Amino acid sequence: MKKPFLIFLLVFMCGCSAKKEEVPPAEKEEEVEETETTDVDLSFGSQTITYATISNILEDPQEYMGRTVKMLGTYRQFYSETYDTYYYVCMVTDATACCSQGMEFKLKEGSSYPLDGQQIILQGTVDVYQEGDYWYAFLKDADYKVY
Amino acid sequence: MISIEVKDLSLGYEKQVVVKDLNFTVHEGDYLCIVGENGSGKTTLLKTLLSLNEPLQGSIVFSGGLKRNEIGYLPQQSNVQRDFPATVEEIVMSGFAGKNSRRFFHDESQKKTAKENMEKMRVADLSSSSFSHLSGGQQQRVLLARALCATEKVLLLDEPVAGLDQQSSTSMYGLIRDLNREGMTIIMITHDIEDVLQDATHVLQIGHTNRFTDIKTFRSGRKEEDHVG
Amino acid sequence: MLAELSLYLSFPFVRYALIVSVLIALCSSLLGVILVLRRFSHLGDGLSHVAFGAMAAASVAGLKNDMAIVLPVTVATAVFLLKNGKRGMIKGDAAIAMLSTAALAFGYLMMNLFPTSGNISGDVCTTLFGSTSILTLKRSDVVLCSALSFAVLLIYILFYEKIFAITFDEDFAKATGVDTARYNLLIAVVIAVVVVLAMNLVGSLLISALLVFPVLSAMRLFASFRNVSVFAALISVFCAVAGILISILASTPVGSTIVACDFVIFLLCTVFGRNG
Repeated sequence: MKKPFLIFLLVFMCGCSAKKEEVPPAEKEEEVEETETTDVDLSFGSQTITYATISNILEDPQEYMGRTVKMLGTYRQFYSETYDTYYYVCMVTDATACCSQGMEFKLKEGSSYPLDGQQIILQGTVDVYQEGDYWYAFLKDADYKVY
Repeated sequence: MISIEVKDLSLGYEKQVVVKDLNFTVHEGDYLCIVGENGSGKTTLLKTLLSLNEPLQGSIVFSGGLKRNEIGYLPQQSNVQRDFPATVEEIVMSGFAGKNSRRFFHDESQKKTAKENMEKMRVADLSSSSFSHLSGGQQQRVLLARALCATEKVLLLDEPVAGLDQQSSTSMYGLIRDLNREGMTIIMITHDIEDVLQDATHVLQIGHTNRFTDIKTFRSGRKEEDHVG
Repeated sequence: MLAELSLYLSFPFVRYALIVSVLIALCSSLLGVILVLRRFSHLGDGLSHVAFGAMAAASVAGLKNDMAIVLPVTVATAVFLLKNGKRGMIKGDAAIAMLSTAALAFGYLMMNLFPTSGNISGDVCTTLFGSTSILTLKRSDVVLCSALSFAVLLIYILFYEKIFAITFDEDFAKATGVDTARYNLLIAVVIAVVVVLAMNLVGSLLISALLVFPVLSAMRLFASFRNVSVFAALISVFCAVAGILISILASTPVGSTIVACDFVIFLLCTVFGRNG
C-alpha cells in the first residue's frame, strides 16, 4: 500500500515540475486574445483577475512592457503639489473592496479626460516613466469609452 | 539472564518526593505485582522504569543485554485516545516504531510478527476494524498486542483490567499468565492482588513503607493477617 | 464560462496560484491531521499571528523579502511551544494565546506607526484574509514554495510510521525507544513552514480552517489513519482549486472562498458520514 502511493506522488511531483518549465514559452504564445489589438483584456471579467493583473503590472512592468491592456475601472484625477502635475488614474478594487489599485494612464494627444468618478473602459499600452527616484508603470496612447 | 535492578530509588515531581528508598530486583521470567494506595507513586515508578521520568535519586540498572527499546508498555486505559481514527492493524504495527530508527517502513517480518501477536491476543479478525468501535476489553487486547510488538522480554502493565467487566478481566489475566509462562517478564500495577495471587512471583507494596516480597512470603503474611483480624 | 476560464488560465500568475495552492493545500491538510489528533489545533492559528507580527516587523524594517524574518521567527516560536511535546502543550495553550494576540497587536501597531504604504488597512486585510496575494506571486515565489512543499511531503512520507506512533500515543512511543524529542522538533519546524506558506493562500485568520476542516471531514468518512490522511489531502486540494476558480469567476475573495468550500464539504461529510 505504501508503494503505489509513493509512485503516485512521484508522478505528481514530476508533473508539477514539468508544468513549471512550460510556463515561460506558453506565456508568449497564448497572449493573443479576443480583439486583434488587445493583448490583455480585462474588461468583461472577474474583479479578482483585474485587480491581480493590475497589481502584477504595477509590481513588475517589464513583464508587460509594450502590451496593450484593456480594463474596466473608475476614473479618478489626482493633483500633486510636490511635482505640480495631474495624475490620471483608472481605479480598481479587489474582491473584498478593502484594497484598491490605480493604473495611471495618459491619453493620446488632444483627447479630453473623463469626469471624475466615471466608470470607463480603458485601453492603452504598458510603459514606464520616471519620477524622482522611482519608475512607475502607466498606460500610454490610451483611449477610453464610458461604461 | 536479563534483570532490572532498582537501588535506593526516590521519585517525585518538582522536588516533591512521592516514593522514597525503593530497592528491588526483577529477574527474567518473574511476575511482579505492584500494589499501593492511589497516588502512592505506582504509575510514576512504571514511567521511570520506562525512562519517561527522571528519578530524584537512586539508580535503575538493566543487565543481561536488556535494551531500553525492548520493554513493552500497556498504559492506563484513560491515557489512550479512544476516538483516534486508526485500524487495529495500524495501532499494533506502531509497536515497532521504536525499532525502526534506521528504517522508514515496516518490513515483512514485522507484519508477520504483528499478525502472530494479534492472534495471540485474539484480535486478528479485527485487524481492519476501527479501534474506536471496539469494546473496552477488545481495545485492551489490541494495545497488549502492540506492546508485544515492542518486546519479547519485558512487559510493563498499568492496571490492565481497570474498567473491564468480570469476564474481560479474567480473560485479560489469563492472557498475561500465558505470556508469563512462555517466558515474558511481567511487571504489573494492579488494584486487585487477589485475582493474580496464583500467577505472581513477587509483590511490591508502595506506600508509607515499601515492601518487596516473594509471593510465598506475601501469601503467608496475608494468612496471618486474616487469622489475627 | 469555459472560454472565460481558459482565458484566465493563460495568465501566468493564475497558473502559479493554482500550482502553489495545490501544494499548500496538500501540506497543510497533512499537517492538520497531526495537529488535530494531538489536540494542538490552536497552534496553527497562534503561529500565524506570530508570523503576522514578524511580517509587520519586516515591512517596517524595509525588508523586501520578508521571508528572511518571518520564517525563522515562526519556526523558533513553534519549536519553543512544542519542545516539551504533549506535556508542554497543556501549559503551552495559554502561552499560545498570549504570544499570538501580542504579536497580532504588535504587528498592527507597528504598521500604523510606521506605515510603509498608503494603504495600511489594505495591507493588513491582505495579510489577515489573504485577498489576492496568491495571485501576485512571482516565479521565484513559486519555486521557493514548491521546494518547501516537496520537502514537507517527503518528510511526511518518510517518517509516516513514526509520526503515527507519536501522534497516537507519545508516551508509548517514547517508552519503546522512539526519539520523540527529535520528531517533535521536526514536526514543529514543518508546521511553522507550512503556516507561513499557507498565509499566502488564506491569510492569518483563516489558516486554522485550512489545517482543520479537511481532517475533520475525512474523519467522518474513514476509520484508518492512512485513509484519513489521504482523503484529507484530496479534499483540501479540491477545495483550494475550486475555491480559486470560483473566486476568479465570481469575484469573491480568494481565502474566504476556499474556506467556504472546505466548510461545505465538511457539512456534506457530516451528513453522509458514518462515523460519529
